[in-house]
Amino acid sequence: MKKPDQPHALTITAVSKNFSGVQAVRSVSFEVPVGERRALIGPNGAGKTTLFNTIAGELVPNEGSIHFFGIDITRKSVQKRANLDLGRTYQISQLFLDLTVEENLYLAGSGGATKAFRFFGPWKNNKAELDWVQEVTNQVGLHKYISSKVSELSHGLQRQLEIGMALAMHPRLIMLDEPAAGLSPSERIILTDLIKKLPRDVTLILIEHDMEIVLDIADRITVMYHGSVIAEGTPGEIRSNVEVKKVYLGSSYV
Amino acid sequence: MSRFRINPVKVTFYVIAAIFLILLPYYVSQYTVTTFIRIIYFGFLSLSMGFLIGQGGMISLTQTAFFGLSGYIIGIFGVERGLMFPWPDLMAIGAVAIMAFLFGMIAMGTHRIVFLMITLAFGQVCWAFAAQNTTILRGWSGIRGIRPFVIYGINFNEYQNFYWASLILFALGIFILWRISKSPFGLALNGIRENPRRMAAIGYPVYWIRVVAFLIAAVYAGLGGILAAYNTGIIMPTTIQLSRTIWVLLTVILGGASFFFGPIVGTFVAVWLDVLISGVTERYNLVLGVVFLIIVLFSPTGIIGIFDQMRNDKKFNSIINFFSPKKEKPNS
Repeated sequence: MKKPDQPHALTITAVSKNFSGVQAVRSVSFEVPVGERRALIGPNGAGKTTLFNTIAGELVPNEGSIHFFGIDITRKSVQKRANLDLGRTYQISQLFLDLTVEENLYLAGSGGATKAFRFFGPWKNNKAELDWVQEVTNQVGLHKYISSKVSELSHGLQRQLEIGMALAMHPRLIMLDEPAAGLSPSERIILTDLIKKLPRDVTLILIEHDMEIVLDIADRITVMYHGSVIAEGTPGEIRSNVEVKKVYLGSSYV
Repeated sequence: MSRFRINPVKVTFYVIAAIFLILLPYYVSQYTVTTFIRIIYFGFLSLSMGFLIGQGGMISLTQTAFFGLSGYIIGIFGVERGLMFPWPDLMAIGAVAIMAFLFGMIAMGTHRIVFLMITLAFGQVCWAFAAQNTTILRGWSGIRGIRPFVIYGINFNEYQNFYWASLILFALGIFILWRISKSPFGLALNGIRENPRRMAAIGYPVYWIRVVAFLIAAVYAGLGGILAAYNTGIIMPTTIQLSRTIWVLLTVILGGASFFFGPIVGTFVAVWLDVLISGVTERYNLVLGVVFLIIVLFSPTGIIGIFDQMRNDKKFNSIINFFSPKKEKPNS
């Protein structure tokens, strides 16, 4: 999948993060090639979300570096990373509740350092951007709700919009933080389907507790435990990995 | 399908309102016209605060300071240095813009309650400075004798001319701000109001958008301040005291902070209430407070909120629909 001269979508080198003495992430290194779908799993408190936030830019690691398509983003702001086409979703939906689905996706689709400083023409006249919004709503199955207020949508539809927000950014990498959190089994099927249909050239990093979803979506899986990476491999390899079984089931089962 | 539909009921309403306002000096007393001038300059101030609250979710208690700053510049350079139009006015707007930019750079890193406190502090510093500086700002007595100019033979000391000039400026100001609130910038500001964290994560320079919004709002407060200084002829510390700021905040919420025209409606009601009850009682603040409580109790979204609820009401809707042609439903 990766051409030899092309840098990895994401290169994490010896990243550590501690919160006043508590070591949340210990010297984690891994690489994600372009176009791969990578799942990040591990029990609660393994440091997945902390690592995730250092990649997204909401936390700065104490040590180590993060490269995004060959660019060092370790100390770049959240906004700068977004401008480099790094999209993310949140474990707890962070949507513009009082705005419509269309407005939400329009905002996500026209981000950037200068695009907001257009003061006169109404945003509703920008046809190219609105067409893109229409396309994204179709992709995430929200075309029926395009002019509904987000606060009136069900939790499941809001989770679909979360993914739409990341997708609308024309991202090169999408990071999904527990996309299925709080969804019913039937909603999970819709969401898994939606993630599987995302364009294949977009690299995907996924944190998820639901193993069915992980095994269904991921090309490779990275397992974290107590802030360190303990295993990495294809779903088949991880399924038969002794270390991973120990962590998930307790040593007496192995 | 065009996204903007022309609603004949609305257009008729606006045309009638415009004719009524333009012809006003021909059929009402000087006092009534002056009251409308007051509504206009406080309207500018209220619009300034309402824009930040409604569009950007920023409750700023500094706007009155910008209102006063432009008045003081007019006083210093127009009266004491004797500069001619348009220099004092341009200097006033320039001073407001510079001040707003510098202060915005400091304040816009903060949100919510911290933002409220820092803007309160800045407003109070300006007020205290105006009250204590006797050499330039003349302390408590303020600067008196501010007169409008004669421009191209039109004497703006005549209240009718001043009213029309104010009305044109206000209409232009409303139109521009309305366009801004519908623009991509306005939408980005709404996004920041709803969720600044997400706005950063989808690539917006949240800080700079807020600084620019603050700058725009300050210029509106400054324009109101210029008109107020000319109309009252005096600028003094009581113009920018905290009770004035609170009064403006009250008019914004009274009219409906989440609606574009809310602040103007609120100012209209509050100023007329002042005029109507001043003959009956001196307890204006008490009456205004009670009116405010009653309205907010029944409609937390203010006076315009009442009409908005009526519009969503089915019975009322059927009456309106009878008069206006069928609306196209958005394609589903």
